[in-house]
Amino acid sequence: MISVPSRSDDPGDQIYRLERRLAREREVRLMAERIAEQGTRDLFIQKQRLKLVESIASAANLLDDPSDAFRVALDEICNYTGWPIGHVWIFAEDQSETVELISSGVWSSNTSVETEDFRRVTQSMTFGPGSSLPGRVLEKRHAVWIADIGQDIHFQRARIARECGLRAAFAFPALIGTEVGAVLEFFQSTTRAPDEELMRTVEQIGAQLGRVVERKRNSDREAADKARLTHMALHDQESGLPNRLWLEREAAIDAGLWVVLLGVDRFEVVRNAIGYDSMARMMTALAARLVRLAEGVAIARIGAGALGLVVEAADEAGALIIAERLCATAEAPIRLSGTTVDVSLTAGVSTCGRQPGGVSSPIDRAAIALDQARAGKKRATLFDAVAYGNPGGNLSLISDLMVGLKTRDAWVAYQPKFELRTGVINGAEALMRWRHPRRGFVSPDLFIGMAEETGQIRPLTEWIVRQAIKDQRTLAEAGHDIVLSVNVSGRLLSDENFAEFALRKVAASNARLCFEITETAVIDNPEFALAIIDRFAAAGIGVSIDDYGSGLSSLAYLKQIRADELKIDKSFIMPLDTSSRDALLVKSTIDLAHSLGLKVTAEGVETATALALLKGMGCDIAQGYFIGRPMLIADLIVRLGKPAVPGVVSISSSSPKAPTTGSMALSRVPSG
Amino acid sequence: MKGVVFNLLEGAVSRAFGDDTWEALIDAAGVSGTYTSIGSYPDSEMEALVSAAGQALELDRNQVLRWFGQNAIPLMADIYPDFFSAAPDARTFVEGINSQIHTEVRKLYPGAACPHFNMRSNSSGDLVMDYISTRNMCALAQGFVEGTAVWYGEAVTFEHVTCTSHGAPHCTFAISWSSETLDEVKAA
Repeated sequence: MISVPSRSDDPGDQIYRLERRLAREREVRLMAERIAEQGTRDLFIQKQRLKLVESIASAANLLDDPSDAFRVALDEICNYTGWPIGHVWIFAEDQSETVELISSGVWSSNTSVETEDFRRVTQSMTFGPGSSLPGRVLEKRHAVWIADIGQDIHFQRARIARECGLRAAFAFPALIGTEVGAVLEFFQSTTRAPDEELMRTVEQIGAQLGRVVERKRNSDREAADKARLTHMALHDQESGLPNRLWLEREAAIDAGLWVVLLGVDRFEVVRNAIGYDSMARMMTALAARLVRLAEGVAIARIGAGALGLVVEAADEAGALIIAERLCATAEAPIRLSGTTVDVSLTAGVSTCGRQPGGVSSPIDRAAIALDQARAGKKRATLFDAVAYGNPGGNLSLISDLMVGLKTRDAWVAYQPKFELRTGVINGAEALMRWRHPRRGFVSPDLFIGMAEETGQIRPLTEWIVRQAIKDQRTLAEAGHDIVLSVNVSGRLLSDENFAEFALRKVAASNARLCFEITETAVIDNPEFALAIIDRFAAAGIGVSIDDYGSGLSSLAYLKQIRADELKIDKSFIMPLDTSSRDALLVKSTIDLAHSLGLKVTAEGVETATALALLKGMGCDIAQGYFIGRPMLIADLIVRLGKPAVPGVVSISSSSPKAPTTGSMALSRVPSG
Repeated sequence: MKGVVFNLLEGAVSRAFGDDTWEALIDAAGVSGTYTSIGSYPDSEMEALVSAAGQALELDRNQVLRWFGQNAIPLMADIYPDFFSAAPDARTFVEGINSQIHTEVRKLYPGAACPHFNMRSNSSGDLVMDYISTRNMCALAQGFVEGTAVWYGEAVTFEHVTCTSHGAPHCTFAISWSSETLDEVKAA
């Protein structure tokens, strides 16, 4: 128990008690005031920090250039903290090998003259992860504080900082997720104890600035992609030279300008001798010679064996002289690594711009002129509209073909593919056919080769793809769901325009297509070709390796190609009945393909014996006259309605092993 | 004016003359006398208190304000020890008024109308300070500067170069400190 002394009524005691009470009350008031002041101060600081973060966040929303956002952040933070200097470290543009911070050259606005030396030294330095203040931020990915630069052994600019009157520092990262996009650093002229709350605040600011860096990166990437795509669309992938589309733009203006097309004579012979790759290098070498002569005018590669350029000439005679001089550049042999090539050039010349008459494109006119020059055994000729329009004169086969695509003189025939295991036709190869209105039937080998040479193989192939998609719909309506194969030239495996066309068409139509490519085309341009093939495969387009065994073969590439099917060249299949050596080769090829997960199609199956042998060897699909010749789509529909190959099914059920002969059961050769 | 200034005046008066004197001043000035540090009160109440004090002590307004400034500094050092420990000497303290002390004052007392001092050095290295305030309390500023010097144990020479009370657009002070202590100066 606490005994409470009785209260004295003495006035002196009373005054004493009241004074004590007053003193207590005053203490209480002062304590309450301090508490209220502290609360007010905290609230004020919080509001200021929020305002700081908000102002930088809104700048980060509005500004596209990180440098602008950095400037705002530096000034706002300097203003808020009263720290006199701020600076930003960024990454060098080329970050392929080392990750190093370099000065952005961006400083807070009110830097003093006294700190000029410090700024100069700073701008000459770079920092990797862990090195000095910026490097430590880069490594730790959060804010770092240096209370006294003089006491920090890691701070590399200590001497110059002291000389310029700088004592304390802090820095923080602009973060993109967990990745550092830039580092902001600040300096104060007096030593400062770490301010944890400020460090948290600036880390929030860092996240806001990271958004700007990220947006800039994305937009740069998009711009680069766009520029790359534009460049690809206007350039030949094999040689890097401008392409036909580029020259078309150049030749669109008609003002005393002429387009000259220079074709390598006997192009196919040359290409077969030196290969696709060397062909591309030879065209580049030729183009370099032409550039020197044509005083810097860019040279486009129009087709596999043709170059084109736009020249200035006063009249036709002048243009022809220039063209002949350009042809003469090929007189000296062309040295490629390890080989020397002798070629000759023929030139076709046409005016630029539009011209009345059937051929609107100046490049087409020059291409016709090139044909006309070759037919007339001349070095160079001008486009002769009269001769072109005259049925008896020299005709340009390739431009007739392009007309034929529209007039139904050209069509697609389908050769059925027969699946040995199931005994049904499960596919067909689309093959182009052309009957010239005056010359009659033209060999595909001839016009396909010419199309390759003159750069028309893309429109031709695109036409076939369109036809195949249309015909597949017709087949489906008749109840037949089969894959249609289209031959794709090696040239097109380096043509981004074709790839985009094909992917777009297939995506739009849900077509089931297979692209037949040759292995040689891939070997010649592996990087680009494999990438395009991957895109085809990813889009659900089948990929078939055509003519296997006829050209160069490389197991290494065979493994890299995302193919579904391997087609053994007919030169191995046709002698199968008689040649045991070929039989051995075919069997080992089938085994090899199977080990790579590829289905095998044998081409050129012309006899029942060959068919039976192939089935015995485990071949998957057969194609050839014995199964069916190339036929019109209407005939194919009729054919699909009948038994595929009568008798084969019975062999399949009666004899699982390969029969040596099957002539009895396979006596009925199908028509077509 | 912020209540904290009234509290400082109360503290200075009570410490020098006793609590009763403060009570008497309140009565003489006809003001409420209830001030909390974070509240804001009319400038006229401060003027009334200063005037009442002047009558009682037979001093003019500027003399009262200067006395108040000198005697408020030890009280401030009790309430805000960090302000003083952050500056090693009186000149550094005074030079930091705008950037350090008034910045901090605005955090503690939002809405405080602190005066602004333009500062520079003259040819002889003295601190030249312009006082710009609608309250015309240049004498209070002088008292603060002098009180600070005492707190740091330094001698100060405070010259009132121009003054608004003499028609100048603003007041300008020239201030110099000596490392000799006040006692040494007095002794000399």
